[in-house]
Amino acid sequence: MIYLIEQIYIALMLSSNYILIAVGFTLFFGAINIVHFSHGDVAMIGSFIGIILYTLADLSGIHRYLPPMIVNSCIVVLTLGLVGILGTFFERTVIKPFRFSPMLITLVATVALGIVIREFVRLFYPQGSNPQLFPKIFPQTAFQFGKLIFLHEHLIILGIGILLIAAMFLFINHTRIGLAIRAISQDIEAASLMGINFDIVIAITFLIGSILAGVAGILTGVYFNVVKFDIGLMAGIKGFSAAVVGGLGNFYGAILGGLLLGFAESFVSAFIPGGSPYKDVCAFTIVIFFLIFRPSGIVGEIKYKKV
Amino acid sequence: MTQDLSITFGGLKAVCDVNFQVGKGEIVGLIGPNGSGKSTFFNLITGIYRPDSGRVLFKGEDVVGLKPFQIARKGIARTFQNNRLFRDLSVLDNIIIGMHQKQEASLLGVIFKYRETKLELSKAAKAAGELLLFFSQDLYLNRYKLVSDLPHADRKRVEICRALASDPKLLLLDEASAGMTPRETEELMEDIHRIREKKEGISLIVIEHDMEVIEKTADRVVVFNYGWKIAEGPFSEISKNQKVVEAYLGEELEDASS
Amino acid sequence: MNSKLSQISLLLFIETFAFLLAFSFLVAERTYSILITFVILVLSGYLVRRIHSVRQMIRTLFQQHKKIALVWSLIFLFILPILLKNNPYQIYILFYAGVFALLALGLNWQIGGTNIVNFATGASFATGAYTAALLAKHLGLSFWILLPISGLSAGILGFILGLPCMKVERYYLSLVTLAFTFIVYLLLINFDWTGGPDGIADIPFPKIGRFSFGSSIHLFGFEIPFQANFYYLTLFLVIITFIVSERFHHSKIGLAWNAIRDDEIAAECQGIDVTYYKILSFATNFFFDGIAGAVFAFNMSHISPESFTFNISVTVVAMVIVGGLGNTGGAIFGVLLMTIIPEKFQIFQDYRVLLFGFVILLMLFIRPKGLFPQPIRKYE
Repeated sequence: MIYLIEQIYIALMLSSNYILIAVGFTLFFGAINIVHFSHGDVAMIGSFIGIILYTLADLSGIHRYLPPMIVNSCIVVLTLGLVGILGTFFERTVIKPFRFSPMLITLVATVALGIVIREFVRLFYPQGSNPQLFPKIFPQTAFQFGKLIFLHEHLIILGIGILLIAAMFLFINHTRIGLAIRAISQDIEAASLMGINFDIVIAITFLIGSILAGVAGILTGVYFNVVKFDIGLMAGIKGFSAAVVGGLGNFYGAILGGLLLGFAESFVSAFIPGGSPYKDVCAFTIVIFFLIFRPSGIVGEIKYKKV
Repeated sequence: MTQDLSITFGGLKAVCDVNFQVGKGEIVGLIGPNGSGKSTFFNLITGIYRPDSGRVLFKGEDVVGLKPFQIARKGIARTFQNNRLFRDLSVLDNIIIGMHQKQEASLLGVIFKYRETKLELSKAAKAAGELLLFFSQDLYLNRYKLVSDLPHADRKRVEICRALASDPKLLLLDEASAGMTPRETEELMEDIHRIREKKEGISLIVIEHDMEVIEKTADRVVVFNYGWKIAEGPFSEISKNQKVVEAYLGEELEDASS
Repeated sequence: MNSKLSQISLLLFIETFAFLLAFSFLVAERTYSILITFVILVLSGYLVRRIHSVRQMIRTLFQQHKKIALVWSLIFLFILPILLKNNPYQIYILFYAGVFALLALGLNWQIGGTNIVNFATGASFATGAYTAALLAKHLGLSFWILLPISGLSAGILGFILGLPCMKVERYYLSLVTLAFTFIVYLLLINFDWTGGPDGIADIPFPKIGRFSFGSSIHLFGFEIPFQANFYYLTLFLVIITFIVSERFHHSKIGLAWNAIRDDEIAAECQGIDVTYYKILSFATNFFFDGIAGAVFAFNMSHISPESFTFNISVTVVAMVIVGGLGNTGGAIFGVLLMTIIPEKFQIFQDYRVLLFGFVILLMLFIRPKGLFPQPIRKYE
């Protein structure tokens, strides 16, 4: 029983990771109909920025002046902000120019961008090819329920993630800009005719998506304790898979997909003997299965071809 | 060989229990306001959509459920409302593709018996060229141009040409005159008559918004509205039909018949 | 340009010049010689493109005397190993490029033809290689039988992959191929019978009669290192694949593929069995990848999953895109560009992958259709 609860906990952490990235994919696809293959790498950048900022804070001795909680909160906020800006920067430089080109080109462009990002980190970050230790940003205390131990740091970052997702949800559904985002995802031409500056709205979409990816990056760092330059590739593909499985373009789909994938992966690892090395295979097989038999995902709409 | 199309189905809320017939050698005009289901009707006939109920009889055979390429091979060809040409290919290639089903070459044949394949392709190219020439000498001269470089009316012509390339028994024209100038429309009407002359026994269904085209080419007219067939008959009758006029809010109808 | 003889001599002269230029780049050792030859190459290529009259002249020359141009270049390619007899590594690079050429040509007609971006090259390549390796080790079959078998096994895999995917939309299909590559890679690492992460070792060299590919050969009195054996093998295979590719292009198959690329629905309405042609593109592409895999395995003597990752898939896609979609010659050019140049710029060795990414982005910006766009088919 305890084992089960532990596994559920692990699954939840994994799922949140995927959800945070999947939401980005779904946002981007919904808004401008592209698949941002390097979105996972943006998350990876998030974790690295976290490390850098922490190291800087450490070196500058700022700890002498401010309580750790404030410093660390600043680090988190700054990381998210920087990731958001970087993500939007990537969109401006690599995705925007191909906005009206065939999808094939954007696809390859984002794949190439991912390569560039990964290599940049690998080459220019000191010891980039090796795993990096993620600093202890959050208090290292824990809950204890009988034999179960829940680390506070996990819960904090999880909480931040949930909060931001909820905030994003509210934002999209209850603000004017959110309305604009939804309008664009329906019909970009009509939206612009209505006076919506879709350029700016798209930039905001990427800002939001990238910030969430940043949270995923920090979550990974906190939970797994180490990060490496290539975790973005896998994370991105799995996040995308989660979005597709749930229903690309549908926000709830991203959540469902993330949960499905996260749970499938951790349960295969935990309950199927000898299954651990195959957990990734399991995730990908689920994706292929969905893509073939139900490409619109769990909650996606079935689109009819207009001929 | 009669070609008797009778269709009864309700599908997609877009086409409701439509009974429609085209005889051999007939030109039937299909009109109706936007969204009345005309293009959907074409899609149902050509197998792109599958009807919820009803049958499509072509030469006595029910073709419902067949895939579009199978239906095409039986002798039904069409053009599209928004002009679906193969943009990055030359004019000639587009037409040759129209003849695709006629070509014999198989996979192994292509790899190993290449001389035969090449010969067959040259013959097809020649035939395609002749077809183009029949339509317009201009087009023939430009046959190696990419279709994306052609002006709008020419593209429409190429599309009709491509549809004819497969030697169909039934040709469906979907708003062929859309976006054409009056002079181009004149030429289009001439083309339709020439098609009828050259391809003996071919039947046409022509979707149009330009009433003049219908008036001058159609033997019979069918009117759709909201997915229902609301009227049928020669143009003179139809243009005076109260229901039809209402459906259209009458302007074009009055213009054409006055 | 009057007499035929002067035309032909000019043609041969130009070809020889280009060839020697490329050759000098290939064998340059010192950094400055590498840079100089490279710059000259780029400049001449650029000038030829830009100066219209020169370009026209070269084009007409080649078209009128196609056969002679071809034969001459074949002669060059044939004697190449002799010229390189003291540079075995360079011969090896050419072999390596040849393997990639096999991969790229197949992908070229798939992406260029049907516009399905297939990221599963890593998987098909692996299938061919592992099939060859495993059957060689466990059944002791000779290389020559294994060659078509590997092709077939990969081809069947392509068929299996393609079959359920026909309803999948193009964009998502790319993702499926992507996921597939990962799955194959992960399975290869985890299965014991594929040797796990260490792969399979001690694959013997191919043999013709008693002559092993591992021994050097004697040609016209010269002793040439053994890599030449593989070079000739690959050259032969590339030529065959090239011919097949061109035949596909100039046939109803190529036309059908292009039709599917441009407008699937319209293609279907012309009587084209879209499903069949899509699966065909998968199966044929994979078949040649499989053959490439077998050749690769027998050359390396040792294969491991690390050679068959997603990166390979992306690399081949990049080569095809850079060279030009749908253009057979362009694909080869893309391959040469992206295998030889990184090898020569060893100083950038570590930055190679980064540069790859940049080059792809660059190409997409300036020439999304590739350096050599698909030529318009002419019929006479």
